[in-house]
Amino acid sequence: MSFRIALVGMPNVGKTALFNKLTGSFQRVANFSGVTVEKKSANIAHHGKTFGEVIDLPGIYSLDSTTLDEKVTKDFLLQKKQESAADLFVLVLDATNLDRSLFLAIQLKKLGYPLLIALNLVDESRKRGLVLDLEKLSKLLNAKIISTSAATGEGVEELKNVLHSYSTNHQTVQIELAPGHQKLFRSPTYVTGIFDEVNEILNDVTISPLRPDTLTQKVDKVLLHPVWGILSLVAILILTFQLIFTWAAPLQDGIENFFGWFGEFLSPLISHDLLRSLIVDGIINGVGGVIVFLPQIMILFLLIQFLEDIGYLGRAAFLLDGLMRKLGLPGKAVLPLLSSHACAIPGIMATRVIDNPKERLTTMLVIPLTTCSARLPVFAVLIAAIVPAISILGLNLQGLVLFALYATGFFSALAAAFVLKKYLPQESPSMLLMELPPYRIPKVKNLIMIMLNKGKTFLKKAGGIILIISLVIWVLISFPQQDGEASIENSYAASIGRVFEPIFKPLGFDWKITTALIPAIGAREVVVSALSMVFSVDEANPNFEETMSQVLVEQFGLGTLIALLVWFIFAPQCISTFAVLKRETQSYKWPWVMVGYTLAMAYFFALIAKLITDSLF
Amino acid sequence: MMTLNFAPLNKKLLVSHITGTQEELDHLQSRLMHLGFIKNEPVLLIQKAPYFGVPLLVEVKGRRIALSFDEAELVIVTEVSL
Repeated sequence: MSFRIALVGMPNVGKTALFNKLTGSFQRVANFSGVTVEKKSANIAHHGKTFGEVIDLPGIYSLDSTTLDEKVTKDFLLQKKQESAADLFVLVLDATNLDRSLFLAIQLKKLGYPLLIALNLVDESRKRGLVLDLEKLSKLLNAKIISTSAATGEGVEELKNVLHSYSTNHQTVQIELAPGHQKLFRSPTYVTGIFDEVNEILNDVTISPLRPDTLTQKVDKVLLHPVWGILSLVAILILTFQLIFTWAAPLQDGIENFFGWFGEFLSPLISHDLLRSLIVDGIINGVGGVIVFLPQIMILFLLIQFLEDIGYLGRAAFLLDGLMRKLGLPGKAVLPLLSSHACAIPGIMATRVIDNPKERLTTMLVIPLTTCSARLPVFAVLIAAIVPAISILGLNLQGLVLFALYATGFFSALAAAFVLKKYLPQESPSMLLMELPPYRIPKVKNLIMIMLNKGKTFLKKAGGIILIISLVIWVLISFPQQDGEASIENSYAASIGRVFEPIFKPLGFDWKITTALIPAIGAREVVVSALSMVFSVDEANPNFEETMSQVLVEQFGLGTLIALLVWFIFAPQCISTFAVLKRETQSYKWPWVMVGYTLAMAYFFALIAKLITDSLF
Repeated sequence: MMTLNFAPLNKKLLVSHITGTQEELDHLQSRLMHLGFIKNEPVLLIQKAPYFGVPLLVEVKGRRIALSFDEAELVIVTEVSL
């Protein structure tokens, strides 16, 4: 077994940045066994030779664990299970926040842990005038101390050398806690006692104290101001949202064009019809359908990490917490919720910023109701069919309807959260209480590394399921073959569509619509081309959308078309969402709950829309 | 003696203790203490928004802490008269 080094420390001490600096490579992201807490690990090398594995543990303030994350770290420290065993713990301290971060150092020392300390963020503490007698501190804590800065790379090589030397010569410690320790760790006398020790030690070793962080005070005066703060928050959120759209759109078009071109390029080279269809329509389309999510995912995480590193994310949560909490969501849910207007996949992944498990689950479950960009092509065709292109008070009526659809999606997500709040199990209490970190300038390298890692995680964990289901859908619409030809009307998909026809009869959907809904389970926007296939409208036609709308108007009544529009506001027409939800919740239960309740809403509201329309016109 | 959520702004305050129901204490006492809300610790209430539902901003041990109105209600403080 390899030499396992675990990084422990408070939240916001730059542990992850140090982890990235130490390992310098792609991380392996998994979940800690049995829980949905993210476990990041990577190999560490010395002079090009791998000698161990570094694990980045969730931040803790002390050994008194209240949240799931903290319990994971505590289990590691107590070597509870075989898979959560480490040979060496590196305690990462924040040199600009020793008042708090020394607590864990003293607690661990008292319990008998041999400590190796990385005194991180020394570049920042030096700028603020802090001078410490490190030799004395090392003696008082009975620990080796290495000054590091993950931002500048200072001390990282030295830390690596020390870790390497430990790897060849170390003894694993096993600490046993006396019964009743949890009660002791929580008792005010015990906590106050350790803080007194922290103060004593700091008085002893401080040669020149830390100057207050005036920059943070000044910036907070604006960014946390009850009026200016909210206005800047709105501006920042709109900008983030805009950037996801504007930066990702050309990349997504590029990816789609590339896979389209690649398919066309390969087509004439494959003479066997079925094989060609499998490769071009099945595999290339399926792979393209996975990769097309990457730009949005990576850009969103780049922006989230930027806001996190600069110190703003917690402040955004602070500003919105009161408002969001009334709806059963924490302030931090706003970013995932907004970004899911681009796409639910990165939105669901972004809920990792929410630390309360129940609130995170609620947010994930309601995200599919927000109007993602894949609904736009569907809405465009249906709105063109239903709504006359006229202006009301100088506003385009079709545009107004589109806006109303977005608003309906967003408010139904909030309403669903409000209802779910009452029914979901409460695992741990909802909490705002947090430390707001000082403002810092983000390191580009760190941002890029995290962005790449998120992209890689998505491909590895969700890509497979998405690809498999794309292939299943391809089989459903390509078989059975007649004279080596496949047509959607005779496919298995159509047979399934006919089976479902009676169920959807009250909504006015015939088998053609239900058949088109089947490939749209893969991705919503496909419904447009699926409809074009069942109604034999040529997609290459430059007036395709208008023709399609006309065909729909001729074939169906207004009630049915409105019902279809309403259906697409709510229906879980996206298998990727299912796959990502499965990965993020580590269960099939919650994805099915999501499918169940959104289907029920879609059917119910589509039916009501149909009945109302039919009675009016 | 008063609860932190009703304490005056920008006045030097000292933490007395954390109070609440057993459930509240189980959930929040430990976190509050580790963030620095321990007996005799000086704290400064920096911001309390004029509208309802917005959290409080408090300075403790050189750092800024965000607490919700209800969380701040558990912290008992005294005003230091100079």
